[in-house]
Amino acid sequence: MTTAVEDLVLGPREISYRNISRSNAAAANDDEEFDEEGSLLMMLRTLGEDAVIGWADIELDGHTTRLETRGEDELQVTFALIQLSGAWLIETARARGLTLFAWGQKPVTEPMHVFVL
Amino acid sequence: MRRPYTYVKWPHRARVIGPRFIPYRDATGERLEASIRVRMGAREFWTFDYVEGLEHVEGDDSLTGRFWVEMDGQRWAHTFRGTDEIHLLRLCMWFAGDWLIRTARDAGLTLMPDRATPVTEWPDLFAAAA
Repeated sequence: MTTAVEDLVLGPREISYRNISRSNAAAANDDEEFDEEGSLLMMLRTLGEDAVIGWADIELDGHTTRLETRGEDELQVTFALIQLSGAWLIETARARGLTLFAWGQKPVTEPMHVFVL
Repeated sequence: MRRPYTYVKWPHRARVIGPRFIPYRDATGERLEASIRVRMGAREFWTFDYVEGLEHVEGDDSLTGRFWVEMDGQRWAHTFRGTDEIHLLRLCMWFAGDWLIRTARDAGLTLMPDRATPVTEWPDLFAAAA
């Protein structure tokens, strides 16, 4: 007999960004009202004793993607999804001229640092 | 019955993420496993309803993430408060991983003995083997 396994849902996490070209650049310097929100939602599913599949659905400035990975356990898969999602967010923001977490002290350039803020 | 100033409310089912088992070798050469578990989903509420002069201040709540890490008979647990699970999970992995590395160093244990290089950074404990 097989047991139905529920997906483990993590998030959503809001991803703050600012599109300087869209907002008034001068006003955006010190006004948080120009910040916009993307989102990240993770799902994990246990496939067997040593196999977990996970995927992340991400949206940033109207651009969406699904990233998927497998691993031995939930924490390993979560860690991999954080790395993959962070890299995608940084790359997408760069390509579209967005500033991630514009209220932060420094620009975010490392995937793992996306989730510190 | 009035609510307490702060209280934690659990969902119907606790959501445990993990465990992740991390191999290590103790001082005698025996191979053992450390473990990390994270429990997510509880919310902590607080209110100022009964504090004189602060009755007008609106209460608030935050998500909590608690982790347990065990190795070589030692155990540590800690709870973080935050706004979302992904942020909390990363915090739990970071602090649990740092504790494992520090504890192993102090106790003369070798984390992940099959690795070519010693573990010095917490992400090494969670990344898949190359």
